[in-house]
Amino acid sequence: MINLQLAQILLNRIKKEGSSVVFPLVHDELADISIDQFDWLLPHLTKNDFRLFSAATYSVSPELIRKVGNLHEIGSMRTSRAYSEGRTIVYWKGSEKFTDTTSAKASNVIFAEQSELELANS
Amino acid sequence: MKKHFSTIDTLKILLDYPRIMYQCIEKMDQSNDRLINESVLAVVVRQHIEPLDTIEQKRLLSAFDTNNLTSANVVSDIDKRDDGRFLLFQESVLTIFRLCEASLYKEVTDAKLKSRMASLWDAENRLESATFAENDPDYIELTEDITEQLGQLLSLLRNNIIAMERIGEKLESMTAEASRSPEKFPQYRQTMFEKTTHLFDRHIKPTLTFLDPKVRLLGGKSNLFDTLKSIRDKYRVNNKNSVADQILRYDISFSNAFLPIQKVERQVDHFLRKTRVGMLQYNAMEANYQKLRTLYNKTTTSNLKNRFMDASEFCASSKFALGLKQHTRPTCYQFGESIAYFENIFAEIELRLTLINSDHQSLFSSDSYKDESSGKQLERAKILYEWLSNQQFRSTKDVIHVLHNRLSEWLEEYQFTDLLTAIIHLSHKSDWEYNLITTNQFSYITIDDEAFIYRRRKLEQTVSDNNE
Amino acid sequence: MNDSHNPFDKVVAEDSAEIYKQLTQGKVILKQHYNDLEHKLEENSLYTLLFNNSIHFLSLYQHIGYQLTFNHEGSFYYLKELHDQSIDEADKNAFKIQVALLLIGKHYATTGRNLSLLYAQEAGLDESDLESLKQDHEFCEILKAAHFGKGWDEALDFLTKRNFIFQTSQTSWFVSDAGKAFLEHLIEAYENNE
Repeated sequence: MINLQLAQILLNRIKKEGSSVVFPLVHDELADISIDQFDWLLPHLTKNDFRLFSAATYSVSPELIRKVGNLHEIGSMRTSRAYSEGRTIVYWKGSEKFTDTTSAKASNVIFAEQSELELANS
Repeated sequence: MKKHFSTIDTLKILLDYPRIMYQCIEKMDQSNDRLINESVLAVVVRQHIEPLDTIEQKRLLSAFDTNNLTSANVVSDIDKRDDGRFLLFQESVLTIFRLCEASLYKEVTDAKLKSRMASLWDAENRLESATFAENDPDYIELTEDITEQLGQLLSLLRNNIIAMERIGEKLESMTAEASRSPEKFPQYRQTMFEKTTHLFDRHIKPTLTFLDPKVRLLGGKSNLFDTLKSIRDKYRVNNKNSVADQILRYDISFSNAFLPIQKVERQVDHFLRKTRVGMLQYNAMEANYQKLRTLYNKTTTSNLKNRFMDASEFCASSKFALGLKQHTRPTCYQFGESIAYFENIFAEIELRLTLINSDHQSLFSSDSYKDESSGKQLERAKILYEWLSNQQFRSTKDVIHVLHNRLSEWLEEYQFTDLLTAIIHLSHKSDWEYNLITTNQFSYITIDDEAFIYRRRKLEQTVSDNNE
Repeated sequence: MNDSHNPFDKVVAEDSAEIYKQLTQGKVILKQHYNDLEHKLEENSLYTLLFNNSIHFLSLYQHIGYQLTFNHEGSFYYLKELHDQSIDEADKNAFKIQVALLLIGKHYATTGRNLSLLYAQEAGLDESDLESLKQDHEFCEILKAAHFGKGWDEALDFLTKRNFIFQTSQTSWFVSDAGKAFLEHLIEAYENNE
């Protein structure tokens, strides 16, 4: 956590006035961080221009998923017609997410035209 | 001797029949007289009591009797002139009626504003030699005087703005005839121009100038805002911060009054530049808007039934698009006759019966939904798993939606986390005859103002229908 | 009398069904309709169909209990119920349309623009107009009293759905011929001092 702050301070020194830089903060195995930290951590990161980018297994708590807000369940998107052994994952089109009703309604317009492409579970 | 009513009862009666006072005030305004002729008042009263019953008529006649008005102190003086006795109503009484009828607002003239300014300058001067001591009654009185002046000035300006915002009405009434007739229009244009400019000059401009913080008044004297600041500073220097703050608040209110007046100014300006057609359009819109306004005002009466405007009269006069509405289309039934169709129905009935039977009362000990301690969360998850294992499923295109519906019906304080728990659990379920397939089509569901945008998951049977 | 031609044959069933769908949704069918995708006004084939087979359609709707009505000034068709049972609701709708259009017209005239701009696709109402409309306290109160509980968004939506105004972008609209017919009707009535 301390490193985050230091990195932010250094960044601010070299950043040009009025510009904004946002860094992805990559954290493997999100479950390592205890859940009660998140109510503080997530806003803190956002405020300091970091965006959390993390991975977790299925054992991760649903509450945590909701707090983070964006979910890519890559393991569920597999094709039975992979071009190469072990390359069965086919994932695109963005995250599943928790947001507010107004934004959801607005993005519904995009949902209107969706193509039928089925992927079979392996 | 006629009955005498108390001041408050007299006022109540006057307010019950406000049109009488409105008419009197209008007459007084028209003849620029602060008093009204006793006999004129009597005539107005008689006109208005005609449709009433005898008892009510007597009541009104007593209330408006000059002796009653005087003894109730509603009328403060009687002036004996050549052409009759003239009554002077209390200013406060007249103010109330002006407040209730916007068209009677008196606009602030240049002279009035100047005199207000003079009083403020006077107060400022007196502050120079004030003691600023809490035990000095002169100082206290001076401070009260200043705040009272500011309060009055603010209400004066507010009323003025309301009156000015009705400028559309005035413009329409001035130009109605001219705008209707293409021949008369050019001749009238000059007259109209003069009248509008006069209106602008006498009533709008003085207030506009008064409230413009950048204007310097004649003789190098400071304007309203400078004066306020100087008064404020004096209080601050003497550590009277609460008074200074109060004056600052007035300052802000005055500044805010500037914008609506500017808007009116622009309106008049635009109007002057219109062509005849433009003016006609403006007037037509204005006249109809007034009709709408009248309808609206009826909804602001104390009769609780009148929340919405009465459509019939307005529509009847405009006769536009009458009868237009949405119609229900015939309900379609999809009756089928095949075996698969009936089996579907039976399966659905069976499903719903099992669902009804398996709904339990709440199994939770307390608010486990929001208690994030793992113990409670675990308890909730366990109960969800148990419920899931008892659920019957059918093939569906959107199992998340199905889960959402079922959970929201059954689960107390249902949240999206519960749905997530259920989905994750289902995606690992292996002891059933279904496959959970994730598609790349999105949809969303909402709980209150929170939405979950998700990929639809299909539920497909792995064994064929006619087994078991 | 022997009709060798079934009048129904002259009309494509799908088009007729589409007309029915729109009319029962409370829409007016205009001569010129705004095409969202091409961003322009174009001739409405459904209108042409109605116009060319008006006798057939009049009869058709009469049989289902409606009166197909044509407004000359605006060149549009709409449905009225033949037997005015629910005249209250119908009046309410007509009223809502008129109130919303009137307020828009008043706003436009008050801000110094000729109404002909209101009917033009390139002009009409824009974001700043919407702002002013929303900020006018009296307008908002009148809308509420006219059953538009949710204010301007609801009113504009109401008018758009029924083709009295067309929406050209997230925050811009212009008034259709149907809406124009109403406003011009008001002006004409005023001019003739009715």
